[in-house]
Amino acid sequence: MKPLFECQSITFLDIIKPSTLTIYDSLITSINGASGSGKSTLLSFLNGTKSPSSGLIYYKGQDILDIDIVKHRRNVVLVEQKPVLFPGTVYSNLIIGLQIQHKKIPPENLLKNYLDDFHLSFSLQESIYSLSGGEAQRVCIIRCLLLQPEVLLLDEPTSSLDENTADHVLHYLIQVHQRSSMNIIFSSHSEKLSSKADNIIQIAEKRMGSSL
Amino acid sequence: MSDIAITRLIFAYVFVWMLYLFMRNRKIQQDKLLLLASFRMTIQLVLAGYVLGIILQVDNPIITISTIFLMEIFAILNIKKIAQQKLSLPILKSVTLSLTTGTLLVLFFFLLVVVNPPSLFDPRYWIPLAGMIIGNAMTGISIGLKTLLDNVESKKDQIQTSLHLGAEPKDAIGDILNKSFEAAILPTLNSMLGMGIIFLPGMMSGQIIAGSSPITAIRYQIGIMLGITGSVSLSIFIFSSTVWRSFFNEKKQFIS
Repeated sequence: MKPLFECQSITFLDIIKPSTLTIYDSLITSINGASGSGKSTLLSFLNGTKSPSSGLIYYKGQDILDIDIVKHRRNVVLVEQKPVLFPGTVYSNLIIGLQIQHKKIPPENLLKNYLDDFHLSFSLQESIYSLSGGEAQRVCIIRCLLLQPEVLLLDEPTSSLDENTADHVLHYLIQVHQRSSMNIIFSSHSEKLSSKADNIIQIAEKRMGSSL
Repeated sequence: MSDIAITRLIFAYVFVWMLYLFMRNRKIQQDKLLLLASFRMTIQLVLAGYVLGIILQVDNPIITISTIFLMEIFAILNIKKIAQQKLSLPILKSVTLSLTTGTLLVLFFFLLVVVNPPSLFDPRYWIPLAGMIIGNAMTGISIGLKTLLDNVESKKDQIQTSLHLGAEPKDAIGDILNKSFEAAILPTLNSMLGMGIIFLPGMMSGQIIAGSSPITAIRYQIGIMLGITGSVSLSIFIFSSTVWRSFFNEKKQFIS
């Protein structure tokens, strides 16, 4: 197995104590740990929106400090735990990532198909202010899937979804992973969720370790 | 022009006194500030009158230019004070660069090309015009800075999400920069809209009272309004082109 990310002796303030771990290519990886154990921070390290206090992170063998960081973030997109939408409609929020990355906007019927796939019954012109937390979270996931990144990082992707919807979303993400070469890395504190992953990284008390 | 006798000028304070009584009566908290502001205005203007008298009498280019630099420093300190929070060094640098460059370029252009005073560094022209240009640019940058800081604070999640989606830092903060530019330039544009109809501007009124013909007065007023618009927009343009860097580190990460 080829390593996708290698983190060497990374630390972050007093949240993450010296940790070394490897995330492998072409797998679904789950990062497990209790709340406040540094899962979200670790995901931010992987896409370069935060840096560890010390230690090195390699992406496909290259130190991410040596890569054009904006280009790296476009390859490794992060869906945050707390959904953040921009004022406007569902449509404007779905395409904002594509606009940022100057990518082609797909036709509306394709976007509508995504909404159906994620069990979202509103129209593309729906105002974002009428969305529930779970609906907003799914819109954020679709927004990042549309970017077709090499790696999709998801921070507690099912935290505001009911069990059935959570299962459905996870099943959908697994299908995306099987259909395309998209790597999926998600954080979770639910064992049920992480049981679907090929590789589990357990963040123990202030220390990380990887198990296959 | 007829001079105002000191005894008559004292009567003008009757309005401050009225406002003070009204505030006391209605228990509005700012009564002490009103007295302080009136007192400071009086002392500051009396001092400014004497200092300006000396500067005009000495008529020395070095003193004229030094006075303008002092005005710039006071304007920067004032922007710092109005911000009501500790400004980081990069933000202060951006404020200093934008205010001084924006005002000095316009001031030199305005005086040398538009006004063309009889003697090159005549303080009678430089000091009052510098006051108006620097004062308006200072207000513009203060409003722009406040709008910017408020919006960065309230929209930090959106800035962070834009970065997660692969935005360049300047694009992630772009809408906020545009909003602060608009907020900064709007008072100048509004004052141009109402000028001459809703109110007569101070400089023009002053010249008319001093005996200039209204036609000469409006020429100066049109000139200075364009100069003010120029310096406010140039200052705020330099400000927004440089200040965004203050919110990101060299790894293009957002530092709130």
